[in-house]
Amino acid sequence: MQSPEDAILLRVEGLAKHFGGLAAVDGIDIEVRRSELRAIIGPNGAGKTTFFNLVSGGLTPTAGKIYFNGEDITAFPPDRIVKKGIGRTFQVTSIFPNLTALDNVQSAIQGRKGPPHPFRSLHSLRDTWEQAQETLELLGIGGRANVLVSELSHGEQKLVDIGIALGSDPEMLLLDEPTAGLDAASTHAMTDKIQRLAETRTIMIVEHDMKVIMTLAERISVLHHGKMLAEGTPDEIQADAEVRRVYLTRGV
Amino acid sequence: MEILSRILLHSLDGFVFGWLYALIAFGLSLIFGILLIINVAHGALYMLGAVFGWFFVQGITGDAGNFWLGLILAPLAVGALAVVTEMAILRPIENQPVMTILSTFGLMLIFENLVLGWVGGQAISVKAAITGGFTLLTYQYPYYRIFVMAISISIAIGLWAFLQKTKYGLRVRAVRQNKDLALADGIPVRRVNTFAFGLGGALAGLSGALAAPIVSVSYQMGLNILIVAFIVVIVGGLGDLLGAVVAGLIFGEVESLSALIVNPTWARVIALLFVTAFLFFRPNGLLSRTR
Amino acid sequence: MAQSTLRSPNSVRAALFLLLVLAVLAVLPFGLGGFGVEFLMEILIWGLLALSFDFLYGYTGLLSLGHSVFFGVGIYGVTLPILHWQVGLWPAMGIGLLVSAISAVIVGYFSVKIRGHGFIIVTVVFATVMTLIAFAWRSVTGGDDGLTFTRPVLTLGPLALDLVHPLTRYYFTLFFVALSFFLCRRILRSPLGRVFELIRENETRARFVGYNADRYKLISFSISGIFAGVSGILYALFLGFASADFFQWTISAEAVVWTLFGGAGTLFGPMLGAGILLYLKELLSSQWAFTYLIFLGAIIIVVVMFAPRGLVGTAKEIFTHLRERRHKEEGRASTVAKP
Repeated sequence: MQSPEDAILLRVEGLAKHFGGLAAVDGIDIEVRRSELRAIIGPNGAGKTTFFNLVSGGLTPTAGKIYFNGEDITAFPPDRIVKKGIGRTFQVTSIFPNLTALDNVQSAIQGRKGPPHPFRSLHSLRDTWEQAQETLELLGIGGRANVLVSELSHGEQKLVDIGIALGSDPEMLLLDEPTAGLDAASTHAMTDKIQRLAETRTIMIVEHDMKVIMTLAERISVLHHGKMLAEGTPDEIQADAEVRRVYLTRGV
Repeated sequence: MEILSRILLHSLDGFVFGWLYALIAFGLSLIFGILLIINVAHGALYMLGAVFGWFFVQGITGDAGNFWLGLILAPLAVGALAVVTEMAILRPIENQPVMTILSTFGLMLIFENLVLGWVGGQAISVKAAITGGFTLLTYQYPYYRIFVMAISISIAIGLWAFLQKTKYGLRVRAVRQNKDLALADGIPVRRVNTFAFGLGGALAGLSGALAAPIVSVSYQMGLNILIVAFIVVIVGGLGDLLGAVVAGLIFGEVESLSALIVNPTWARVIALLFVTAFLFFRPNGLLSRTR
Repeated sequence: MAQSTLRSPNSVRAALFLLLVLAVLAVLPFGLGGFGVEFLMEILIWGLLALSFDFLYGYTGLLSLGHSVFFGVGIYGVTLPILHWQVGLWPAMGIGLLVSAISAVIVGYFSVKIRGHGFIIVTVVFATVMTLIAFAWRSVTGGDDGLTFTRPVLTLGPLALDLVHPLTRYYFTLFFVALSFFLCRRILRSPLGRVFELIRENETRARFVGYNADRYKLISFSISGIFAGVSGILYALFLGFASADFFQWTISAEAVVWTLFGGAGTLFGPMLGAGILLYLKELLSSQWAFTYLIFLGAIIIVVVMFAPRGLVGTAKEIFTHLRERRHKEEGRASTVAKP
């Protein structure tokens, strides 16, 4: 039996980030339950990516607290946050271009282990390679394991980006616009894959494609000018007059 | 009284040299802000300005030459050289920062050693066109140094006005802000690049010609000043002109006042370490609002 | 079948090639005159400096113009103890190694905190500061006149060899350069070396998969600095001389040029680059000293424009290209052969 407090994986309180005079994120409160799939939406400049950067350690908040698994992780550097169990992908695909897909994922798996050995051969890491291969197969690109990622298609690179995030075996996965720049077929395939990933982990996703959001999300948080505008189920959000006004009617 | 007048003398000297460092740094900063490259040849362009200045004044005509003509021709010549260099050597490798560092290092070697072959390795002395001075408590202070400072300040104001108030300046600033956006707005980014490198080079040439009478002119005179300019630019904040002035003045004062107690080499060591230390507290520049 | 493609059967061939090079270097002195042996030593030592730079730049992606600091510290690190305390060869080298390691950690600690172009500038400031100090502190360093010392005897158990003898000095140098080369190669092909590559490829991503990038940059910087120190130690023993000039940042810049010319990120390339360019220097300097530097400047510009991957990098590219084409042709031939 879990207490209500245990059911909360991520809790954010009064989170704010100011750049000079501009408040990109302006006092956000949010709670994400374990194994939930939460979507964060909002018009451009609403502070979605900044919010992700704060949670994953890329930026240091000006104010507010971030708790993960009940532990205060505010202002932790990214490498520590990864080890706590938050992995992420990037809006602009972020991979290691001159390594193979397999090496990309393997590097992430190695990252959460202890310090790397300075003299042993890379072959000593055989088990991590096997895990990396499994991860790629899960994402449906197992056959591309030994290709340099710089030679992969945009869609495949997006999958490698997710593969890298999964390599850290995160409890919570942050996906920053996973379908950006994908054609309709790839978007559909990507949506399926995310749905499958959501069976085993908590996911927080920033996405522009409303169809993807409405298919995937259990709950949606709407950001506007760095503030939380509304939160609810997809149906509630679609019905919300305020949200329609600032966001949906723009036909994004 | 003696101590006081020496302190006064050194403070004033620090101010003059601080402005000179800022002037050298302007060109570097402009080039960095626009082309995003570290111009390792900047010290060599400064050296060329000094040598050209000497050449136009004393080289052709003997002592009867016109210093003022040299002061105008030297920056123009160096600026023209910089324009050609940018188009021929830097444009093909734009957006490759490390490669441009290497290329400009190559240029530095070429310029320095051409001058070595041309005028030889000994130091040249260049006469100041303005002689005389005024009394500062017990010491004589040369008018020429005040002139150097006045020119540097005027150039700083002129550059600021150019960037803020003119259409071309607006283009330059747009490119500095965001290259892709500027390109999308129809700004000829490549021409702005060439212009910025040329102007930066001309400013280096001007500082060289201006400094020639008060420093030791030789083919390697740019070697150490380059490092000073680097640190002034980076501590001032890349592309921040006012920051460069502040950093330059701090450097000049620290160096000059340290020279009251230690010899000039140690004074430069102290100034380098002092100013570099700012980088650890304000990595985005002295005057930046974000940390 | 999970394995890294970067470590293909090629690495066996590469190892054989390196052993062959080592064998050639071992017998080469017998085909060369006294001057040739001295010159070869010089190439080996400067090559090691270029190699140490490549360790940091080619594999971790950090361009340091501060390696002359460790080179100079290595030089004075052996010279001063020999001169003032009359210590033997091994203790002197040990001290040299220790002080270069300490200086590398200190310079690295401050430099890696500054990102982007600031890093390069901080390293060049360190080199300038050390140069100025070395020039100003004449009583200790001898300034640009330098310090001359007598090389200690090389003792190996019961054996006592005189380093003044060129061949002894040559094998002594070759041993340490080769050892350094294989150590660097081993480290760069280890899991630790892979982390360096990750930082070179995408530092931000490396942070977000759990690597403390600053720490690994410092580790890479320090290892690289130590090997630069080793080259300084060897150079001091080669010359029997130390000078403040060796701290100049332009020495670092020359190492950068050798590395680029030979091919960054290949380890062997920088040594080859040093060899070829130093040979050119020898040829051209007999005319006027400055012609070589003008020529070198021109070479840099040309290489940057037309062969930015350097000699070894370009050669590798051509090989890969040829092999791919051969594979394709073989593939086509076999399909044609099918009835």
